[in-house]
Amino acid sequence: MKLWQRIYIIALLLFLPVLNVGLFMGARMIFNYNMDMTRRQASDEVHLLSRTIVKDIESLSHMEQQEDYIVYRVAKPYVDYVANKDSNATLEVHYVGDKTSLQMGQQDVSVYDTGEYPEIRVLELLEAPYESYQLFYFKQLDDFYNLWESLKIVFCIISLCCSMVLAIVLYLLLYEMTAPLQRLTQSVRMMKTGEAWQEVEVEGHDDIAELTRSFNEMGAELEEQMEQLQRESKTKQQLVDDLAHEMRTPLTAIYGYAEYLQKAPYTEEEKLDALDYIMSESKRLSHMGQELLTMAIYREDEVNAELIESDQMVKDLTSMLGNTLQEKRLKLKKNVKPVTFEGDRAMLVCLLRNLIENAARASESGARIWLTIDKLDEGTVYFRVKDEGIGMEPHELERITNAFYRVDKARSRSNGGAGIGLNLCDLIVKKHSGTMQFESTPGQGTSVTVFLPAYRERNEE
Amino acid sequence: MAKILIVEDEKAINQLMKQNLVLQGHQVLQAFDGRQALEILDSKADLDLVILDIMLPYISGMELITQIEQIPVMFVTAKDGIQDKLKGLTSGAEDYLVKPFDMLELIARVNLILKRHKKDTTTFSLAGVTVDMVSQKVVRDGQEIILTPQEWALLEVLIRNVNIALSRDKLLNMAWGYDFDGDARTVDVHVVKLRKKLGWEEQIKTLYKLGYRLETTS
Repeated sequence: MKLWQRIYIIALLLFLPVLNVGLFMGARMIFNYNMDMTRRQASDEVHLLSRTIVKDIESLSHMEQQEDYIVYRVAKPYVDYVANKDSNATLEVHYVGDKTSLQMGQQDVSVYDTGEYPEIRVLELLEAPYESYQLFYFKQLDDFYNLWESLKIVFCIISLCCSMVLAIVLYLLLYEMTAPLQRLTQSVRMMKTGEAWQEVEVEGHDDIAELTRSFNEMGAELEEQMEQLQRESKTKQQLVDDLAHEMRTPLTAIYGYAEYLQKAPYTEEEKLDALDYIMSESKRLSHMGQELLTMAIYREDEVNAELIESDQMVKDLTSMLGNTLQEKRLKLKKNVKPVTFEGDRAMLVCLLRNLIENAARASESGARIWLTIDKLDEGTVYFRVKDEGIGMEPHELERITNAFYRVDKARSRSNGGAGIGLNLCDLIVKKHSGTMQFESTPGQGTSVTVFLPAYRERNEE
Repeated sequence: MAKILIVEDEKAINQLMKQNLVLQGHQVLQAFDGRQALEILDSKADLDLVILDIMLPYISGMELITQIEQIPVMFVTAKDGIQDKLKGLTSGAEDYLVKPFDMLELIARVNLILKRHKKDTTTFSLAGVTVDMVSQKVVRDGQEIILTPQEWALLEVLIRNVNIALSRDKLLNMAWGYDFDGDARTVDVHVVKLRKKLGWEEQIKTLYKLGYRLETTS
């Protein structure tokens, strides 16, 4: 059973008896009050009659008549009057002598249940000296009770109406109030089945609204994480696909030339060429493996921060570059300011080497490459590698940090790039909390600028 | 003898395919990017087949194929997803070869396409022997040579894979099918018979540990 249904039933169970008991008690009070009024009315009327009768008797007391005769004669018009006034009422005068339980001036008012309807009876002794006479007043309460019966019906109807209105209003109210909860449940259920998460509408400021808000926050967070996971797994899948694709080409060449040497009647020149291809393609595969390994290591590695002098780093870099530049007779123009900054020396050298190698690949023989290292401000260092090579289109710039993406496949492949370079650069720059900017004009060259915070934030690790 | 254009940006692969097809006696043109390919196609070179890579600089293979009319196209690519294959084949290509491929596979597929378009070699001449591939007639110095069906099958395989070494097992399977009841010795016996009948003692070479090769170069 749902919470709102339970609340509904409990509320009804509690409220309906209270309502009905209240109504019943109210009715009872009205009844009692009316009864009192009736009794008092009857009592007052009898008392008045008794006094009037006594006065009348006194005014006739000079008549030499029998006392009882006078009494009855005087009382007669009143008896008739009462009978005329109210067909249910009867007034009688009786001689009781001493046989009465009443004291003089006292009244006895009582209600008897005689038959169909209760009857009110008022007994009163006449005042002295006629205390041996007693007034009997009876009145059938049929009007009163009829009224009471119809009143009871009215109360029942009121009770029923109130109960129904209450039940309906409570139902609607509770249903409406718990509707956000239902929506929440629905949303959670949807989330469980892996459907797209939807924000639940927040109404008001109550507990449920708060829960909904928290849930929304959680949902958004979860969704974001899911998306990130999916993105990551997609990237990984892409990497694996690309890797498989990239491995195929050298493998095809290696296998193909080996097969050719095995099966074809080759010339000496063909043999040398084939062996050359086999060797260079093997090298390419091994280079690819090495770069992937470097990347895997750097991905796991924490940045091993140390103070680096720009001059020292460029020296390291020059020895690492080896004959990359000589092959194409490229000129590296260095503009290195003596700056000191923190970072992982091996990673940053690798970053610069990759950027310069990329620039070299994009360049024609004899072209120039510029390397700039300087401080942008107190907290930021930048490296810039600029070439005058083939350049890139804007839409290509967006994808260049993807692994294996090549702007110009033929050219970069013939230069032996494995296609992971910029992906690795991106990783290194991110590890250093830096940013990388590309500017390029097709046919005129590309400029890559890396901005790094000069000092690592201490509280990070 | 067909004229074939190879469009492949990877120099090593392009060269490899060329060498393999040249062995078959085909004439081969090479293009290393989309633009070069388009130039050759526009120059109205009388091509019998285009072997096309999909990922090419400047103009992709998928774009190129829309420009090629009436010349059969075979895609050669490293993309082996079923979607890629379907896309390749529905774009009008005759065939789809996935890297890495086997030499024999390349040759077999090329031969099939050429045969389908009736551009395959119909006569083969070597050392005074002329073989009509269609009528299966073999003439040696003006004299018709009668071959048994088994000998013909073996000869056809050797000619179709000329200049390529074929192992005894390969020959067995290619000439007479997998369910043929015979062993490596059967091949040897038939090779000896062919050599004798055609006078190809030198042309059908025995290669140590490899098998046999019909050579046109020696």
